[in-house]
Amino acid sequence: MTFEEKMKSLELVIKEMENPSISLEDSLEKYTQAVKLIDQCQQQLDQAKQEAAKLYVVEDN
Amino acid sequence: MANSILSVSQLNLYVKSQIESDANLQSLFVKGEIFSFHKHFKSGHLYFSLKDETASIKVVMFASSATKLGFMPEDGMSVLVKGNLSVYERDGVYQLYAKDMIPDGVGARQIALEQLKNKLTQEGLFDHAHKKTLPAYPQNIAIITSKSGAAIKDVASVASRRYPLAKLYLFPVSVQGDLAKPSILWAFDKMQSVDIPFDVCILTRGGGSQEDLWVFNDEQIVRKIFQSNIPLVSAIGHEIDTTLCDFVADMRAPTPSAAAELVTPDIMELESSLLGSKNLVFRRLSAQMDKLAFQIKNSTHRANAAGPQMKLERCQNKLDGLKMTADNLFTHSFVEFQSQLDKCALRLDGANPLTVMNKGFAKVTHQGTAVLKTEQIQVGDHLKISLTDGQIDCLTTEIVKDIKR
Repeated sequence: MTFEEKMKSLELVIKEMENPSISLEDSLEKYTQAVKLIDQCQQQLDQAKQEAAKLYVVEDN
Repeated sequence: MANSILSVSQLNLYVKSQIESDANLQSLFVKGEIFSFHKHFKSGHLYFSLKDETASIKVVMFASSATKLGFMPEDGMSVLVKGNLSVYERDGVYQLYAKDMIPDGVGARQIALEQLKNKLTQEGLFDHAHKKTLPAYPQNIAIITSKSGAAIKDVASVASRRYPLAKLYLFPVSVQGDLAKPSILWAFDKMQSVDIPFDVCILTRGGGSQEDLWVFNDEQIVRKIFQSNIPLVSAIGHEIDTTLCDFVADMRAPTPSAAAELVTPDIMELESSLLGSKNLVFRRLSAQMDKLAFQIKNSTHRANAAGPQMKLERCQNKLDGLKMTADNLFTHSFVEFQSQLDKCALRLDGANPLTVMNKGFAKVTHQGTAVLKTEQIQVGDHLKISLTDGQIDCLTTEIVKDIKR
């Protein structure tokens, strides 16, 4: 999953958790999912911080 | 042809052929100011004159060429006309047949720009409805600018610092001069054809004269941007310079660095928002658990009031009552029993031989048999008298019977 996809799923999971009629089982599951996504995102950011963004030059062959 | 008599038509035809055979008159650039401008509404042909301080010439531009113009000529506009000279035989006038025309001079160019802007506005190219949303987390960022300018350095450094997750792709182009237009058009085509899903594009160049930035007002480039399905941020020249590319762009930034900031999220903010999300989901979950705990407590209470627990308690109470009754009964009977026992003991005490003996009575036995009557004994018998503290052995010396008995 790309960072963007992870952030999008995270938003979705949080939204689901905010649904007042969610069951505790679902809520727990969503919580686990959210924490996992957050940790993965953070990890990805940490990794990216180690290296600068890559710059490629697109030219005609 | 000398001395011969010609018809008017013949003369005009001759002049026409003379003029058309002169190569110098067939590919001309003529500069002048437009006057008596007229557009034939049906055919679309343009008729006007060009003049300078001392002379004028008639010009015709046919609709086929006129529709390709990026601006609408008008009286007073200075223009540079490309065309060829010929003769209109009917009237015997020579005139310029224009193939192309560009505004000449700052004033004219400005008018042309305004016209193009109005035209494109009317076509809806600058409508907000067409503006694309910038992606929140761009993975692939296209940058169309000069390879050697300061703009690419600024964009790369800001984008890299703010969002190192992104990949930056530079499409090196000329940003001024004759090569600018074709290279910028190339970049947009290349951006579509290359196999990279670009999330966003930055079109930028640093500050320059209006002349330098002019290419960014080009109709073809503006249309290219409009057709592109990749969100575009423009940052052309300084903030005060506004080009048509800025109008058609989905977003405009005042500088190349600002453009990079617009298209990238800030990693610091991202990190704090991730932390915030973590707190949020935790709070959400604990709030739910608290609520459920409260509900459970509440339900237990209600269930107990109506349910088996209460029954059980009632049974317990009953049982306790019964037990108490039983205890009472038991205690009572024990006391009764004790008092009976005490009574018995008292009676028993009265019957205890020791009690009698304590009063001076003794037990008399002869050969282990209690002596109750005198006739059991003869003189000379040894009798045993038991007292409380021992026995006395006696010898019978005399027996006296009570007369009464």
